[in-house]
Parts: sequence; structure tokens; C-alpha cells
Amino acid sequence: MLFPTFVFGAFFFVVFVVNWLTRPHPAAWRPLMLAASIVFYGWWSWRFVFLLLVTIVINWVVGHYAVMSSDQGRRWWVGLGVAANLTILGIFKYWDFFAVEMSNLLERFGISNALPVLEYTLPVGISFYTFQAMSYIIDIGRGNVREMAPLDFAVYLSFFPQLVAGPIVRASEMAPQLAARPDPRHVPTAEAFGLILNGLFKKVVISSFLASEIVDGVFADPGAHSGPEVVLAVYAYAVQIYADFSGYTDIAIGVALLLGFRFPQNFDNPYRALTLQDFWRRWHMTLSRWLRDYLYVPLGGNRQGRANTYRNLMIVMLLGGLWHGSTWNFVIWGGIHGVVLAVERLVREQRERSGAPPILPGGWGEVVRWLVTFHVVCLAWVFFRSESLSAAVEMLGALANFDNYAGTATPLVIAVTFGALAFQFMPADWFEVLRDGFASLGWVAQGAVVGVSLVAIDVLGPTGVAPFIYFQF
Amino acid sequence: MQIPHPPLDATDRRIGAPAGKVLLAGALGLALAIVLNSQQLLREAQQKPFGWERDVSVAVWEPVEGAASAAGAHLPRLWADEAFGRDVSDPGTMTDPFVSVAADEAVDEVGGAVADDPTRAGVVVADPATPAIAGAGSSDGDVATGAPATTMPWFPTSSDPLRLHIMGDSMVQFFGHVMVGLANDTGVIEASTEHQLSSGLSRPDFYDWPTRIVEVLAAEDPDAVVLMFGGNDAQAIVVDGQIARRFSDAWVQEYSARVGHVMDLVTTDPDRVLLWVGQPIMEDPEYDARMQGVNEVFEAEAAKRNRVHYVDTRNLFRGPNGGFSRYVADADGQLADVRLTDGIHLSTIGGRWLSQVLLDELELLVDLSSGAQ
Repeated sequence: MLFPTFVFGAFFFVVFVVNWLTRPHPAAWRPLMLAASIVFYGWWSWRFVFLLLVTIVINWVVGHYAVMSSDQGRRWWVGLGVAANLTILGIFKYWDFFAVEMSNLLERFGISNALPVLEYTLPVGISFYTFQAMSYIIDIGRGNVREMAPLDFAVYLSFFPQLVAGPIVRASEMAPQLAARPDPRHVPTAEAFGLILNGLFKKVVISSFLASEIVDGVFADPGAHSGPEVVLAVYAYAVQIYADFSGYTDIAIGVALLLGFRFPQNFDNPYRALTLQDFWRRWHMTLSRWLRDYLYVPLGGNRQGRANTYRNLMIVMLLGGLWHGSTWNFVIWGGIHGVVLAVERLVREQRERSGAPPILPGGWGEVVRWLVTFHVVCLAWVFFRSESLSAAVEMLGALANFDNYAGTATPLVIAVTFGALAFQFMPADWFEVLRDGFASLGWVAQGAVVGVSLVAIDVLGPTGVAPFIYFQF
Repeated sequence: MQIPHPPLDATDRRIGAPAGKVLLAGALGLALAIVLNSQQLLREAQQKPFGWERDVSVAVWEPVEGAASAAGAHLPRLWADEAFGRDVSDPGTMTDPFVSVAADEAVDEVGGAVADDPTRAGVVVADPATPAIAGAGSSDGDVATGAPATTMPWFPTSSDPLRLHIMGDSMVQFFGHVMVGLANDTGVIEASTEHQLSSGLSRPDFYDWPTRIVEVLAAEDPDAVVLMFGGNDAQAIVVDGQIARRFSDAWVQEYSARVGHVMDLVTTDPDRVLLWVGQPIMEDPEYDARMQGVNEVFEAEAAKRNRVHYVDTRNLFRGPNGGFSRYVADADGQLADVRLTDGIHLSTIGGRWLSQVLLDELELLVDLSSGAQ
């Protein structure tokens, strides 16, 4: 079920009413909310509901026995739980990549069809909910979270607003909210409607417009476009993927707020970052902190010398790339981020040790750092978006085209791309100003604003709604 | 047992609203959006495949649209659509340009207009007795069938290139751009592409391809056209006001007439060649069977016409086990990911394979060798 559809609107209308009527009675609320999440997920494919339920059962059982065990036993159970989650992820997401690469390698030595290709359909959101499940198991092992009741855990892992594309909410954030009873007299309406409308605008209007007007065409055939168009298409893709993913997150957070839950933020104007480290504090923040807390820190973080720190950064970013998908493009995307993060760290440490003054005075230094950071991110996006390594190389090669202007760089495309980038530098309180203004309206005026906004978004967006980019991860 | 409310922070207390008022505001917002958008909602309902879902949707939205239009509530959306250059046809007045094609139109099955450009006269003259081209890419079997051709004495050059236009549904979205790139790389083809998602020949009320094709032919006068339809066509259609279930006799007769009509539109000019691309093998067996059904219509109609070349793609994308596979071995035995995960569309690599087959087919009809000089 896609958020920007009439079907979801009708579904949520019912869920909203049921939620607030039954919330004072957890024994009724939990199964109803689980049922709602299963309907939401099953709308795509009922087959994968069973995989979700199996994941829920395995992780709750493992967590239960981990809690009941001694320290040694707990470590064993946590290891088993992590292995089980990685196995599920591996079968559905990584096996075919491995099998095809191995088969193609062995074919060169005359061994045909060495490994079977499973061709399983990738269940929507599997990377998100298995990461949430692993965070629960690991936090149980660390003693950071208490064991959840079975139905609470099932609601947590399947909770429909964040089920298919995050944010990756931790058990320690969700468990207290499941145990509490939000006050139905103070639902944060203005914030929720603001986020939902903002998210719809980003997805339906900005993301879809840039995809159809320049990004899809240029990435499909970069050679037929001029270098400036290729550059603009890469910038436009940077905006498209931000609008698409953060749009989904906004809607997810807004929907959860209407049900009385507050999710962690996932984006904080990432394209205003002055360093790549800063970018990762602002982009897909819940994945960044997951990788930091459950991978980077256990690997030793920055506590075991400079070389090991760089190694850990590379491992984390390469695995972060693979989290998105099982292709070499995602590995290279992660590799670019890993290398530049390491270089950034090296330069910063050397400059701090030597006490060297800034190379450029005043704000110019920040401008240069922003330009470098943004273009490193864009370079990595080329590999992220391209369907194959050769396509990415072709895209980069097309930067040198000085002819073949195909007419895709229209004034509107340029205005939307650079306008969206400029919007990242807006004062942080613009949303609060609008939110408070909306909150001051009566419910009739609020309804009118919502209705007119929905129609305006529909008018401005193309016909039909493409799935969110991050659903495939 | 009731759980106490957690303490609220100052912001929540200041901007929060009772759930009942939230419900009212949300319901009002949705209701307003529905009223303002009623024509669009009815249009989308009418464009659904014929069946109970469409019947229910139309039954729901028709009275809403009627009431909203009577009150003039549809006008703001209409003005906005006009301002953005959108289709603003009244859902109640949508017509089916195909209706009665089978009954009323005497289809000229051999094309047959007079050449209007003697320098390009007869790009292709078909010879129904000649065998089709053999396989291309990595496929083991034949790739193309249909009416073959003899090459005509016209040599496209960089200064006088062959104009190629590729059209169709979402399948074209995934290979059209790739083919444009490969075609333009020859140096003697000037290619362009367009697609319309979810379109086809069954539901011209959703997208009117015949009208669009006539517009394209008039504006661009392409020398070669590639068409790929069918993915959305295995659904009921209206024949003389009656709904014909897919693959019923009436359906086959009407759909064949529509396919033939489009083929004739393109090949009215005897200098123009048409490559009609069949649907590849699909992952879902039921959907695949339906696609074989539409392919049979395409192949049969193409066989009746000169200058229409049906390109069978089923073998090109057949997996090692003979059925559907995302991964198909290329000429070097290396597995390539040729299909998207939806089990329907082609990946860029798959699109490249198909494009190469189509260009090879075209090269059999028109001498493109001057581009290599």
C-alpha cells in the first residue's frame, strides 16, 4: 500500500479511529494494530507476510532465551539471532549476486552453472525490519533494553508507518511509547499534517518531476546528452533521491504522530553539510547511527589507532553500501564515502596537530568545503543510480560531451533543482512557523487547508505514483 | 487496566488538538479534495480494466462527480489543469476511437499508398515467402519472425539519416532510450522515443495511440517505426457498446482489427517500415499465457502485411531452464541480469539486447553501412 494513494487514505481513516478508541485498552489495541500492519504489508504480497511473521517469532524467541540465559549463554543466543537475521537477508537479497558472480567466474574455467540462482522476489522493506530486529537482539544482549511482550514486539517490528522504508526505530525508542498511553486531547495535528503534506509534495511533485523530466532520460542514455545536461541530471538526482526518501520519512513520521508515536528524525538538510562526516549526521540518520552503534563501535571505532580507524570506516561504509543492494555499484558508492571519510579525518587530524591556519579566509573556506562535499556526494550518487558499473562509467564519460544538447535543461528543471538545493539553507524554524500558524486555525480551516493542498499536489504531480526509491532496499 | 497518560511537553500542549477534531479536520480535508477532484477520480475509475472493481468505482464516483459538477466545484481543478496544459476532457464525454474498427473499417491489409519521395522510394519491399532473420544476441533460437524483406537501394547517411521513432507502453520506457543511443551511434540513424505508462490498444479511453501515431507520422515522417504494445492489453474491451471478455471470439476479432489498423496507419506510406515487437517471456505463468495470446494476434496481423515485421522476443529472454529467468547467459556464457525484479520489464542490459536485435533487423532492411565508413 503506497502512502500517496486514496486506498491508504481510506485505510488510515479507519486505523486512526480504531487506534484512539482502543488505545486505552492494550489487550485490544495490540492485535488490532498488528492486524492493520499486516493488511498494509500484505497489500503488496501476502506471501511475504509469512516471512515477516517468521522474523517476528524468531527474534522474539531468541530475545526471550537471551534474557533467560547467563552471560555466556546470552552471547550465544545473540549470535544466533544475528546469524538468523543475516541468513534471511542473505537468502533474499545477496545470494543471487554471489551466485551470478561465482558462476561467471567459474564459467571462465569451463565450469557451467556452478551455483543455482534462486530469483526470489525481494520482500519490500526486508532490510529495514531485519535491522530493527537485530538492534533489539543486540540491545537485549547488552542489557540496553528489556524484553518486550510478544505482541508488543510484533507491533514494534511490523508497525506500518515505518515498516517498509524506515526510519529504523530502535526497541529502546518504541518500547516506552508502546507502554504509555498518549493523551488523545493533545494530538500534534499541525506537525503531523505539515509533515504529511510536505512529504507528499516532495515525493509527488519534486521527485517525480525531476525523474521524468531529466534524471531517467539522461541516466538511460548519457551519450545523447551534453556535459552540462549530465551534470544537471546528477544534481537533479541528488535532489530527487532526497525528496523521495525524506518525503517518505516525513509522511511516516506524520502518520505515526497522528497515532500517538514519535519517531526519530531521519534527515536534517543533508546538502548543507560542509564535510562528509557532517553529511552522514544529516542523511538517513537512523541508518548512520545503527551502523555506528552496532558495527563501527564494536569493530573498535576510533579507539585502536589511526590505521584501524580508517579500516573500520571503510568496512562500515562498504557494508552500508551493500545494505542498499547486492551490486558492485553500491559497493563503490560505499567505497567512495569510506575513502573520503578517511581522507577527511586524516587531513583534519594533521591540521589539528600542526596548528595550521585555515587555507582560505572567512566564509570562502566554508564555500569550498561545501562544494567539495556536495560533489563527492554527487559523484557517489552516479554509481548509486546507474544500473551497472559500465553505465556509471558512461555517465561520467558523458561529462566531457561538448555537443549533443538534448534540450532537457529547461528553465523549470534548473529552477526546481537549484531551488530545492537552496531550500536546504532556509532557516531551521520555517516549519515551526507554518506549524504554529496551522495550529492556530479552527478545524474547519485546517480541513480546508488540507483539502486544497492535496488537490494542489495532485495537480502539480504527474499521473500515477511511482514506488518510493527506498522500497527496493 | 488503563495506563496513565505520560507528561506532555509544552509544545504538544500548545499545538496539540483533540483526536476528535483531528478526525473532523482530516475528514473535511479528504472530502474537500474528493469534491474538487471528482472529475479526475471518475476519469481514473472509468480507465480501470472492465470488471467489478471498475463498476464499483464508477458507481461510487459518478454521483459524487455529478453533484460536484452541478455545484461548479470541479471548476478550480479544471482551471488548474488547463493552466498546466493537462487533458481536461469531461469523463462523461470520453469516446473510444477504436469502437467499431472491426465492423466498420475495411482494413487495407497490404498498405499501399504511393511513394511521395522518389529518392527514398521503397525502403523495404516485403517478400512473404522469404524466411525471417535468425537469432541475435545470445539467444539459441530465432528471434524474429513475420514478413521479411529485401533491402532497398537507399543508403542513409549522416547528412540524410534514417529517421526512427520508437513508441509503446512501459516496456518502451525501459529500452527506448537505450535503443535511441545505440541507433544514434550508427551515425546514420536519427532516433527518438516516447512511451505512455499503462497504455495499449485495448483502452483508447486511457490513451489514444492511433491519434498519437497519426500526429507523430505527420510531424516527424519517420522512415522506420518500432512499436511495442500488449502488456496492458489482455483485458476486456468494448465492441459496439458490449464488453468483450479477453480472448473471446469478439475480443480477438476486435483486437486484431485494432492492431491491423495501427499497422496500416504506420505503413500507409510505402517508404516506411514498421518493426512490431512481441512481448517477452514473463515470470508469472498466467500473465505469460496472456502475453502469448496477444503475440499470436501481432504475428498473424503482421503476416498479412508488407513492411510490417514482427519481432518475436520470447527466445531472446528465455532462461537456462527454458522458462523465465532474470539471468540469461550471453554469447560468452556469462550470466547477465536482463530483467527487472517485477518479472515483466527489461533491465538496461536486457534493453540493450533487444535494441541490438531490432537494429540488426533494421539493417537487413536498410543498408546502414555508410555509418561505419
